[in-house]
Amino acid sequence: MQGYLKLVERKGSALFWSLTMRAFSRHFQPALGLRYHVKDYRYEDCTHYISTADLAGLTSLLKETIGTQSDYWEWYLNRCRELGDQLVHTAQRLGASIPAGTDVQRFQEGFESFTEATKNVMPFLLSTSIAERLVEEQLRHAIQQESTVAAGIVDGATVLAELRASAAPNAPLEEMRHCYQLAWTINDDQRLRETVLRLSADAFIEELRVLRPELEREIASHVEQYGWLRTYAYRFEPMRQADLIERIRTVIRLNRIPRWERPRQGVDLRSILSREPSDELRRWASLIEQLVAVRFYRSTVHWRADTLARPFFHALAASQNMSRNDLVFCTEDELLAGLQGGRFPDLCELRLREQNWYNMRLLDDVIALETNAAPSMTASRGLPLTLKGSTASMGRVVGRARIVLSAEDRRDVREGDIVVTTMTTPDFMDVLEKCAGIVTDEGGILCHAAVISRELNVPCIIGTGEASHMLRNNMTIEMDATQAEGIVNCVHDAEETDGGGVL
Amino acid sequence: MTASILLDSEIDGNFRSAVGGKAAVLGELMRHDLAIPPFFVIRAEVFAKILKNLSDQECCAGESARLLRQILDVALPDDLTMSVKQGLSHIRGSDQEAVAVRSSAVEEDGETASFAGQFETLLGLRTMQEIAAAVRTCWASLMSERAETYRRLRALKRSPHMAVIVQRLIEPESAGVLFTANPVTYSAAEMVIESTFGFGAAVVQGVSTPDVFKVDRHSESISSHTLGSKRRMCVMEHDGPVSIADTPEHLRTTYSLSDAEVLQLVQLGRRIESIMRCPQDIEWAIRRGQVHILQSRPLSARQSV
Repeated sequence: MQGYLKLVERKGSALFWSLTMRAFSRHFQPALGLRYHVKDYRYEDCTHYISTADLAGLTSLLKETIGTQSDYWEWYLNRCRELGDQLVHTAQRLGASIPAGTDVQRFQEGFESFTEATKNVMPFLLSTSIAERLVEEQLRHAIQQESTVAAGIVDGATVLAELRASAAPNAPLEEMRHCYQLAWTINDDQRLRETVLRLSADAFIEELRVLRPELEREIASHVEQYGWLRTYAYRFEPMRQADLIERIRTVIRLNRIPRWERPRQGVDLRSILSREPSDELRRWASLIEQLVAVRFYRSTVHWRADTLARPFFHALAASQNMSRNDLVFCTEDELLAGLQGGRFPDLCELRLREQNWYNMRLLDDVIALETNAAPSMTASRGLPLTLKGSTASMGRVVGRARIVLSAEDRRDVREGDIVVTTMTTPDFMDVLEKCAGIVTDEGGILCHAAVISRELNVPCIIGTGEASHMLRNNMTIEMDATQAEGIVNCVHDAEETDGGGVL
Repeated sequence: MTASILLDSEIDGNFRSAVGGKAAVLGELMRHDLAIPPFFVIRAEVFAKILKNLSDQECCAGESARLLRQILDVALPDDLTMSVKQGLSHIRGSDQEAVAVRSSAVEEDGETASFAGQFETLLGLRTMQEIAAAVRTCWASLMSERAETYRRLRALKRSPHMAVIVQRLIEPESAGVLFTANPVTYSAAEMVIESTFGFGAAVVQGVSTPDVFKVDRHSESISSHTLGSKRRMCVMEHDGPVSIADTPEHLRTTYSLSDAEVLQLVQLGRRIESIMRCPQDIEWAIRRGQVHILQSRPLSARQSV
């Protein structure tokens, strides 16, 4: 669209995004301590756009007033986390004490406190890309200064790339690591190991409460912290404790130890620059790292809050004789109106929205709804993606997808990546060393590559048909190769988090 | 025969250090009257000697890449060339018949490490020149990057003993692999066959998705048939090399094995299994109704952690 820049892509719950746009248009300036009124923005094809003129105005305002002040950015980051924590806290509170079915008052209060908390944190979460850009400039500037002084030129871009790569967290991978840690702890204890393999998941949790209460608490907190990963952006129910126990059982039974054991190291500025960095440089570098982390925090805060508040929304929906899935396709106003005794939109209307991925456009106070035909699998970025194939080598792993179609692609594979390719050949030895799993379009379970995968304990799913087309680089995918039919799920599309956009 | 080569009839299971794992098994199976295409083997010590000469000449004896290039250029000793010619007359009727040249390393096809696909196999060679070049390529593959990586990952030391099989090439209608136990679930009750039209290389190299048959061992009944897309296959042009080509449309939608052939393979599999005394990974080819066994090795054990 000419004259406009992509703001951020909408996905998932209409409820959340109606809140987002409200927040953006109304709360941006007070929240960030800035006065700027966005005059012109549009919404089309699941994407929000801001006019280039508005963006220029906003950027120069930020640059002039606070761009150079690292103090401001520290305040910004702290405030962002504070408000994010408040949102999660509110969600926790809601999920923990659910009003009775008839207590409309309390439902309304709960809902309003949730939307309030979301609106407060939204402007921060939306603006991290711009923040990054501004801080980057400062960092580059600082590097330049020091480079000329020390007569050694270091490319700012290299430093930035390093910082970004090390700061980008990978929640699914962390979840997996933690799950394995729990599995080993249980495995190392003879009695626990025998018990977990023998009893049902629920019975085992009971046993654990008696035998090792601290472990039971760890399991509960794992589910609380990571349960949202299973929801595929609001659509499905989160992980329960029993699910986690099942996975631990699988890990123990298959006796699999993954290769990505090393925890990520922080970035060593000193070695990149080949000298001691100045305090100022350190400060800007640390800000970049934190901003990148916050960029990812954006979606995790959403999803965590949604997961924690889920029981509340289930109950709210039930009190109005609706299902939660119907509820998420109401707008904020419709929901409040409905609670206050007015009418909710027709069920068929809501189902239609869900089916056709309704887009919402905010025109001042009027929310207009438009239908789009359900987008095709490759065009849509929001639908959860599942592929099926045959298991050639057993295991279960989560990692970043890497599409490999040439020898050059093979060289780009990093440790812990899941390689996705048309078919494997014996040349894949160098990749087998590093990858956490292999997914192929073609092939059989008796070919050489399958034999080697089994010997090296690398999970392998073959014959998916189109994995190399459907999956994309940097998607976080999960391979479930524990049955004869192997399943590959896209857990998280990195491009969605980045937004690819400006704010 | 001369010291450089051994004929198939002279080999049995005890000859592993002389002729490598692959050849020793083939010789042993031949003794049990299984249909193996005729072959002879260039002994492992021939290459060991050549390697030693090269290493002695060069100061950087251990350096893989350089050695690799040297091996590809080395001249075959005269007595070897003569022996090979004699061997060829033993395995084929005329100079126009194509042969396969296959690595048979002492370290491969073992119970702990299969080295599956790590060394070279070349198909469709006819002239002495082509065959000599193929032999060198097989020798060089001992030190290929992928073989080295495999060794490193399996924590194995390099064993510089590589024999080379020269075998009559069977041009099959269909070919593939048979595992006498399910390698994924380790269920001994279920055998798995993957097959395609043309040369079995299409299955072992993972060229395209083959037909899959699962058979219950005890009842010898086929529990599942899955039609593979078989988009590409390996074919040999008349007087030409073996290469990968698109599978004709009508073949893609046809099973490459009849039920009767599947059961025939299963019975052969059980026989081989009892001879070798453990579950087997068997490569086979069918031509004009006759099943030929091309290779058999133990189902590789899952690396214990």
